[in-house]
Amino acid sequence: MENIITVKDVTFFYPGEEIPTLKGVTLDVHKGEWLSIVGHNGSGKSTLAKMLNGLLLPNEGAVYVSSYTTERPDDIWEVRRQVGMVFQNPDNQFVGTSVQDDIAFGLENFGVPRDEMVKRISESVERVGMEAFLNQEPHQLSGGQKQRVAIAGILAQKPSVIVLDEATSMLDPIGRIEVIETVRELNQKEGITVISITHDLEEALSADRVVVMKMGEKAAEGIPEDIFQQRELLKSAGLDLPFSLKLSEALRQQGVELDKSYLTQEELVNALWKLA
Amino acid sequence: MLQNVIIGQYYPASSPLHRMDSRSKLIAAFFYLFIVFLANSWVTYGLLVAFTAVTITLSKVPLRFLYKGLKPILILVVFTMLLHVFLTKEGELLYKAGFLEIYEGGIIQGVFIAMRLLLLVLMTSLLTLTTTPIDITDGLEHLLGPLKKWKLPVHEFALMMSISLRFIPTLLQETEKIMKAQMARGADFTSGPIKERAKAFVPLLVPLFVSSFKRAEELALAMEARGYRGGEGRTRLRALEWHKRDTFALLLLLLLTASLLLLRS
Repeated sequence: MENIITVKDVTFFYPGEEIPTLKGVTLDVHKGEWLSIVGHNGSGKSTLAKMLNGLLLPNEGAVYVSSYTTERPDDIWEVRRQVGMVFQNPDNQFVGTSVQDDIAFGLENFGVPRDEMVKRISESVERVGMEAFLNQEPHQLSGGQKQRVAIAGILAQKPSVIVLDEATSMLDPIGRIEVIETVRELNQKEGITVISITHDLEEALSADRVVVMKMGEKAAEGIPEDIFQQRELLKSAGLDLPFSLKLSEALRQQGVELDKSYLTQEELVNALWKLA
Repeated sequence: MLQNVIIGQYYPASSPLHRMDSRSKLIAAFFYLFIVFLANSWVTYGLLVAFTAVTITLSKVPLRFLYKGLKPILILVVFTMLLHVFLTKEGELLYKAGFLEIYEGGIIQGVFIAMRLLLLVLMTSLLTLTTTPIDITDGLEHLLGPLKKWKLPVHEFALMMSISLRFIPTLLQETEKIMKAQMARGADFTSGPIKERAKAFVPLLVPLFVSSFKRAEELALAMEARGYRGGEGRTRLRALEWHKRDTFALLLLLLLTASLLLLRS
């Protein structure tokens, strides 16, 4: 499979610190996949995210995005255009005074001509379902709507990768679903690669692949079904198992005859009602 | 409470003045500041008053809004007027009581100065009443653009202004939240002597400052992630359009200046 991002043996120290935040991390991101990077606070997952678009540069090793690399200063801008990033706090990434001004911000930075800008803005608000809010001001929007505007701002730049850096952790459940569904549609219909950084394993369930970070190192990598069987590993990485998994385990301990531990609620329900 | 906060004092309406380009309005207001000083007789002041009155009517801004803007400076107007009435010793002596002498020239001078101040404030508040703060920022950035040659950070200044405007409602919401949180812990912002009340605001301001710095840092990171690298090579979505009416307005102002120059004594 073709790689869109390659992280090669990356080690990183924050200035003045003795212990590296990332220790020799190597990672391939395939084109069009949904990759979840999970880990506890301080596991280095957010630092890893900031390596992907050159917000931080590795002390050792290198990051490649298609044919570009964050090593070369001339490439950085193209890397940032290709790898869009949605941050945690919906308010603190809203630069413009209205929805359309905010979407335009990135385009203005890349010197897109005005006519083209107008076209791309109306196209990208439609893709996130915010076309009715074009002239709204940020304080009139909910957290989920602001995050969708952030996504629209990235889409307008015609990116190949969207990185969600804990983008749903400050949202209410409805806002969370809103954002995840929007991104899933972009991932499935338009083949945009999604990297979601999270400590919420429920969110990682729907990923194509999961990477577990622990103490600045890659502790495991694989499809969710395999990763979630490694309970000890997840626990030692400080992660809370998804509810259906915990429930099916508890049921098995109580003597309910389930043939395996189920990852999603739907699977578990299906298995349960079939029991005699 | 926050839904009603109007930033600046913009009065939304659709009038010829509202539709004017912010650049022409800025130039006109600035120019007006100087030509007001040309007037020195009843005729010239009459001309200025008439011009200002017509502009106010055209703007469709209700008079009570203008009055609200005038209120803070009314004391100043009255004070300077009295100063001139008592201290100018020209023309016929009208009244004398002890050391107090009022001359005809003093009254005329006092009225003129009061009119001058009122006209100045009226015209400048018309600018902010008919132009949104963000349009004023855009206009300023365009007008001051040539100063970039002398390394003046015009673009950075304009971006700072627009980001501040954008964050005013956000910070107000946050203030309200912190206030409620402190009130829930027994803080009292509304009663007691002034000194105590001022002290009560410390636990409000400290968290607000801390979070503002955090916001600023995160915003800077988000801006960088979206490819921000200063004003060079940037295009802009907001376009200012100079219409015929803008040229016309400025020509009208030139005409006014010419008449003032001719009629002044």
